[in-house]
Amino acid sequence: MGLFSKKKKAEEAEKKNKTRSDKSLEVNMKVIKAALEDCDDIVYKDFRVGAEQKLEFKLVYTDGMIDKNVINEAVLNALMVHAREIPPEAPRLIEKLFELVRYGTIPASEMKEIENLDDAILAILTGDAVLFIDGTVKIIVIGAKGWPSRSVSEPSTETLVRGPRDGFTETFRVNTALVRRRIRDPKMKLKQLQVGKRSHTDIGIMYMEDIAMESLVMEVYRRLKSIDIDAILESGYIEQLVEDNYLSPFPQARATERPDEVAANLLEGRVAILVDNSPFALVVPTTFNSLFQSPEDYYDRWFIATILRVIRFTAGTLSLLLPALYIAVTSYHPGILPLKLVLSIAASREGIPFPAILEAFLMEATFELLREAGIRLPAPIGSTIGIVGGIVIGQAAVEAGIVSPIMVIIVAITAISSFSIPSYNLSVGIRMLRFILMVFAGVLGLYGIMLGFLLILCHLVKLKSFGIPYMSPFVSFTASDLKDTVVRVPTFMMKNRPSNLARNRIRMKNNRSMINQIEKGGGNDDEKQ
Amino acid sequence: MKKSKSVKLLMGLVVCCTLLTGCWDKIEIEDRLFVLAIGLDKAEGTEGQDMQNKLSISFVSPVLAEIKEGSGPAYKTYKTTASTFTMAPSNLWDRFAKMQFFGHTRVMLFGEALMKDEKLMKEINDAFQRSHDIHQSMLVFVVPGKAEDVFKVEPMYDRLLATYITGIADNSTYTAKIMKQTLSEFLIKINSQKGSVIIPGLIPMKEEVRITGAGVIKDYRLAGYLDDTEGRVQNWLMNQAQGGSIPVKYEGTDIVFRYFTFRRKIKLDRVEAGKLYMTYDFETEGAIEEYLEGKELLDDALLKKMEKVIEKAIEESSLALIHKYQKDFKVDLIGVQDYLSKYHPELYKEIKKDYQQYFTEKMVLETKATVQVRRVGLAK
Repeated sequence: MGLFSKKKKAEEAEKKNKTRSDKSLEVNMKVIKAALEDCDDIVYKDFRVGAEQKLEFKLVYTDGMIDKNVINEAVLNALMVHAREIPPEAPRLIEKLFELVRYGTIPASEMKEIENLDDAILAILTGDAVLFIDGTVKIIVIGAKGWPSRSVSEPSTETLVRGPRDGFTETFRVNTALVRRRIRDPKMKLKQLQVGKRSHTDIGIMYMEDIAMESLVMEVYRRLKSIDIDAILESGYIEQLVEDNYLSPFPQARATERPDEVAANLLEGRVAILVDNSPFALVVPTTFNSLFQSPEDYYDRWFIATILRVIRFTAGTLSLLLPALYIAVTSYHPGILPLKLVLSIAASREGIPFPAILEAFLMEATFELLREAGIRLPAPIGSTIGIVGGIVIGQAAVEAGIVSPIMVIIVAITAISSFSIPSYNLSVGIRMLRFILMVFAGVLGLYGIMLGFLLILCHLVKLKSFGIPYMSPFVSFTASDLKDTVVRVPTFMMKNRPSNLARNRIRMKNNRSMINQIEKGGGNDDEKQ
Repeated sequence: MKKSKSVKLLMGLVVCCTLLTGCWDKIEIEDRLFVLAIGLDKAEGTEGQDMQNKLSISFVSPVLAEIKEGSGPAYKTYKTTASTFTMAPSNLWDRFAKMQFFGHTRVMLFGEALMKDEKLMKEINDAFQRSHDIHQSMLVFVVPGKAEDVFKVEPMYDRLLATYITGIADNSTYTAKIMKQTLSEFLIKINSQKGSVIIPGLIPMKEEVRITGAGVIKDYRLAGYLDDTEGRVQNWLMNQAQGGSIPVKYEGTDIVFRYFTFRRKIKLDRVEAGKLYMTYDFETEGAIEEYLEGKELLDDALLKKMEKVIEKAIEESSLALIHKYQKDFKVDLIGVQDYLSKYHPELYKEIKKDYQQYFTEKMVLETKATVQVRRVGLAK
């Protein structure tokens, strides 16, 4: 019993509204041709089979989207050449023509039969070859998808030192296969649906049946079903259409290019949404904590991972607060810095024509410009921009006396910090909040930063992603969940799955005692257990 | 409806509370005039007159451009006269484009003449206690002579006078000769001890300053000075010595005893015929730093003898200072009162009223030192 068996009835009812196919090939083709009029990339291939060449077939497909080898070998060659090897007993053949072709003649691995023309058109446009046979209502869809696609390569936004190098591609089926390869468990479910009235984009919901909460899976399904849009061109569309709070600067779904990341999240009870034409899978629900995690944390030894986590959280804080702190301290509270530092900052700021807040805005804005330009420009020119920007920011501005050297250091540290947050979406959100905090700092000093920070915290505590508090496990406090936050405890200690996500909580058994036994030169098994 | 109204009201209150709290001006860091040291003097030639501007206040501020590059002192001094301390900064507003900022003031110097003026001292102390501009962790010193003279010193190695002075004061960890006192300590003591307090002394010289000895303030007036050695003994008596060395002569040879710990305890021995007999117990551990070449120091009998000599030196010098307090200054700044009030509250209640008289006439104070030489150096 799958989760979705209830939904099947509704789907069947839907089928009745579609145009049924006719026995006559001529009638069918009329409908198809009318629908696909002026679509010049559709290929109609007529052929006749049989001793008297009376059995009419029509193969329809979209040029460029099918694998011609499959069509030639499995359909045309099989029907037109090999079929001749069977002694023609025409009357019987005609009666059972469909069964013969469907089960006997075509050596294609992927086939299904349909009885309505709308599905046939969709199949044609999806990249399947559709075989019409004169005299039967049934239409055969032959899976022969084959279009030029990018091969599996290392994900460019989430590179690791240690870990698998494969990343999602733009092809849905490749992506699902990449995840399936990691979890060979029948409990790993993939529910597909098509969203987008015009694009008919394939979307897959992946989850572990016995781990993920049923309510969560149904909620994801419900939200996806509710989408009524002409086209889904990227998983970003889905992310925005299903998220809880559209005003929040924080991403409420994790976009990842890594199948190992998706697999790990599935095993923690989350749900992944794979979208055709997008190398980014969405993982929901997402928490603030998980956006600071990288798959590498689990591949490296625990204390390395812990140090990296601490660095990332520090980087996040710095990237959010540093320019604001600079403004507050220089404009309001020079008393809190050591004397020599204060004098050195004051000396470096002397002659700067702008107040600290303007100086900070100027530099941060310049940096944002550079970053944006660097992304947009083609790679060879991009490095040039880097050099030019580096000189402009780093040297010229200081020498011209427009900004102070301290400010350059602040901008540099902020920039580096914001790059060390694993989630790009989150770092963009933090970038935005940074500017808001700078305004707060410019108006009210440290007190303003505190107010701003409080506001952000209030928002974060209130925010939910698919019913899970965004700040969990820090808010919905469960001590065992804290094992995988700023500190990542040794793997054998992480025995449980997250308490608010997973149903089947035991993940592993501690094998430490076994290892210790071997160290002592073996021993009685019963003794230790 | 009603609920949303009260929520709105509550929100309004919260917003008011948060946004109307605090009030400070935004002043860019380079527009602030960092005052690193303050010198307070009694203005000259005001005796007998109306005393309009009876205070002469000097400030030391860094020259920012000099800090980055350039040689020589990176600070300038300026002076103003005012009727009260609080008036001084406002007097400067018509002369300076920058705003004075006291958040980094490190040193406060009092001139001798000022310290001898009881009324002025009371006024100034009050000003410091009330002021929110002046933070109280700056160091205070008394200058025999005029405080502003110190600001004319151009230190040899330091480019900022204030950090130079605080640097010297930090050496109090290594030698008990140097006293270090913050403004808050000074104010707390002068309040709790009814106008009597010890304040470290600072003497300006040509290219340097010296923190030496201390001034003894009695009833808000400077009553006299302690010299270098007395300053050290003062630290012993007050149990504030952290380290230092005592030079003594042992059989015609100079030896140096360097101590790492120095503890003192006061003990009330007996009350007899209206007199209080008390003992200062000193316990110190340290090392003999030098002796004669070829002489064996790991000789228990010899060390015992040396310890005796050192003990005697400690006892004598501290007894001398105690007597100075009892006879000359006639004020208890050596912790007896504190001890009595804490450990013998009944007794203290009786003598509280005429404490000064008791201290000067009816107390017999003895000293007893226990010296332990722990180390004798590398040479055998």
